[in-house]
Amino acid sequence: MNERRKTFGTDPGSADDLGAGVFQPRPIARPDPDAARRVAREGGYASDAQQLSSIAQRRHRTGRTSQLNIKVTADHKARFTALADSMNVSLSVTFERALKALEQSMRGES
Amino acid sequence: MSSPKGGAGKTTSVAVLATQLARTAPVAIIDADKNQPIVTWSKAPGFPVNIEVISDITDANFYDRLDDVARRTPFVLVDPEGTANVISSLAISAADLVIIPLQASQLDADQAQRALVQVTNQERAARRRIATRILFTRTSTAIQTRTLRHLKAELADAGVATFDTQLVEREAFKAMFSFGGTLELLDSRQVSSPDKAIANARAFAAEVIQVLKDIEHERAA
Repeated sequence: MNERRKTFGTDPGSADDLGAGVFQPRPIARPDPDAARRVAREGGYASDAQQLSSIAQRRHRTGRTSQLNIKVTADHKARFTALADSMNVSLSVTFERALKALEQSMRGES
Repeated sequence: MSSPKGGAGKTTSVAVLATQLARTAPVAIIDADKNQPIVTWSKAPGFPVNIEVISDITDANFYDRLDDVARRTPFVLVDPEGTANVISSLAISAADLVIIPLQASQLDADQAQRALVQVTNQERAARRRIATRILFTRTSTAIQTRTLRHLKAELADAGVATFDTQLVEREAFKAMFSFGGTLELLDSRQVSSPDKAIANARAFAAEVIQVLKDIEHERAA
């Protein structure tokens, strides 16, 4: 019967040490997200179940009762939801703010 | 760890590699599979304290979460869902090393080829080389099948690098998920030949470390 083996605390430099200790944390080589998403989409890497589930949790009782279904690109959708997430507000609020900003810019206001 | 096919051995390979690296270094695993197999395993007893598991990943927050953890952890492994999904491709785009697990079947090979094409296209988009290795998984200890021989030859012809180590089909690799914890915590009452599984896991991890050292060396040059 085998004894339980020691899992941690391998002595550095021992025969068991695989040499993993020499690596240091560092930031990622962050790619251009739009380009990376385009590659994903063109290669058929398009399923977005994770994102859909995060949208499904975005329910608010706001009295907004009218629906607006529009076709958008996956990139625009991702940017839009990311924007909403960054402000921590719903997609509806993001839409209303975007609309207001657009109306202001068309009237020449800043 | 990348393959758009389920059952190729992604999660097992991630677990095997993570536990070996974690013997001497902090490790993080991003569990981007909605079935959360790594999260489930991490809740069982014996899970190494220096492996951090990150979940709640969406393709909108992926780069931020990855960057955040990479700044404080030397090894970050990503276990994506076994489908052709956006996160899987984004993970390739930011990787130092893409490992494509492959069972020796034509069906798996076709899906591995899809992953290889994603690597090439993400390389082009990011204007940098992304190191890639094929890892044969669930191979037999006894025999080398004709399909395996054929695929190895084909990959060699195509200039695709493969790990010398193959993850052999072993009960111990599955037992990690049944009993929780690491291979080192299994004993022969629970599963046969844990020693052989450990030797196999260490050979794989040692090869990964060597590849990563070569990449660091090239980066420094």
